[in-house]
Amino acid sequence: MSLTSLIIIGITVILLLAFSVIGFVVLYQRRVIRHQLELKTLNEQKQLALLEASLQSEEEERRRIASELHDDVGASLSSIRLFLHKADEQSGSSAIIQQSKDLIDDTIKKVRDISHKLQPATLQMLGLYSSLHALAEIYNRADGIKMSVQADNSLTRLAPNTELHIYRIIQELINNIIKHSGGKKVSLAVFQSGDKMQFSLVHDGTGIAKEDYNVFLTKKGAIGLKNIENRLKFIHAAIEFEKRNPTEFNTTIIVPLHEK
Amino acid sequence: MTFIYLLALLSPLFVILLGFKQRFTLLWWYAIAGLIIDNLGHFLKSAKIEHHWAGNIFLLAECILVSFYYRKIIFRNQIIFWIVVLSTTLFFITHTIYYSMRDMNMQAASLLYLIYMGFGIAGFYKLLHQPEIIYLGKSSFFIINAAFFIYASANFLLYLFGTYLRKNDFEFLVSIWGSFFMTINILHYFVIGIGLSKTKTK
Repeated sequence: MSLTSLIIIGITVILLLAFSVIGFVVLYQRRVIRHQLELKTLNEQKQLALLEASLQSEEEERRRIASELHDDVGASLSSIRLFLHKADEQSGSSAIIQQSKDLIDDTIKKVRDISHKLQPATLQMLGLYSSLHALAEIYNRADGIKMSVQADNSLTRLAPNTELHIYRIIQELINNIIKHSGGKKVSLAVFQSGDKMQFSLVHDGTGIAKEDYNVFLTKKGAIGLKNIENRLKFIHAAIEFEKRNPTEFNTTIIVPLHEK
Repeated sequence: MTFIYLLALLSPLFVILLGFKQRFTLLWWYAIAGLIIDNLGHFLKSAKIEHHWAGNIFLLAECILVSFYYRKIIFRNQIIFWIVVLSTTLFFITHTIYYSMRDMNMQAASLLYLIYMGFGIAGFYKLLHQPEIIYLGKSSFFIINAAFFIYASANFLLYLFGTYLRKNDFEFLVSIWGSFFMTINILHYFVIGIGLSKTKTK
């Protein structure tokens, strides 16, 4: 075999080796990417599981406190009211006793409201939309804001867990409106748009834009917003902020519809 | 002048035009050098003036530009980089002066191509050990590295035995140069152009 033929064979072999090296790199990288994506999915699932455990634990604690408030503190306050009523009957009408009765009545209402805010009894029994109406009544009684709800019970029901998270998100958003926005009027509209349920919260205070929301999430504190973000992630929902005009700010929660 | 020869002379334009957004980068200057020197060599050959030294100039420029391209990618230690670049450059210059001033120094060039093959393998190794996910089809470095790797692999043996073939089988050298080498040259510029066009502008 001449050297010329050997050179041709040699060049062919080296080229084949070079293409093999490139082929190996491509196949290896594909394997690495597949593995990294699997790890990323596992990590996300683990984080979601931790988040679920954390939120569940929070709900159980709220349930416990609500139950103790209602059963212990509420019961004690009702007993005090009874004693005051008896004292009023025995000693005759007295201004101090009347004031105390009024104060007890007020405190009983507040404790009931706190207990209902912590654990809405209507949520499991009557569903999200009725609970939102009940929540509006609580806020209208106190808290200095006027809230209206447009949510028909004929709307598609969501999964019980999803409804609880949406309830909590709306509660947190309204608390933020009361604390920070200076708004006095809040209206909540619930409507179905295709395969999504939208909860549109409009108020007349100062709202935040999506960029501000993202900035607050990364800052220390802002526990309420982080709680909202965690719940949104858990139910695969999204949040949007829109300034309609100087006196109207809209926050919309968009939830994909799941089977009940 | 055959069509493939003409295409080979103009092939650096692939890089210059496709990679225009990355103009004034190392690979763009590499293409400029290739365009100027290849065409200068052709012009001198047509005018029957000694032209083989132009090939040596191109090989030297290629050595420096390709080394600097790989500098930040595969050399963690800059001292090693300077040792490699200076030693290969000095070796090529002294070998050319001593053995091959008037002819293209194919033997020294084969060593350079062997070094480029090493750069290519090191480049692939670096790619595979990146912490972030890299999709190779979108990676400009992978495309450019593959182009240099194939180009160097194809040319290594050809240049190594180039001097022997020039003396003993000149016809074969001319035919393989005019077909195989030109094709590899055109493809390598084309692929580098594609790779450069995918580079993100800073």
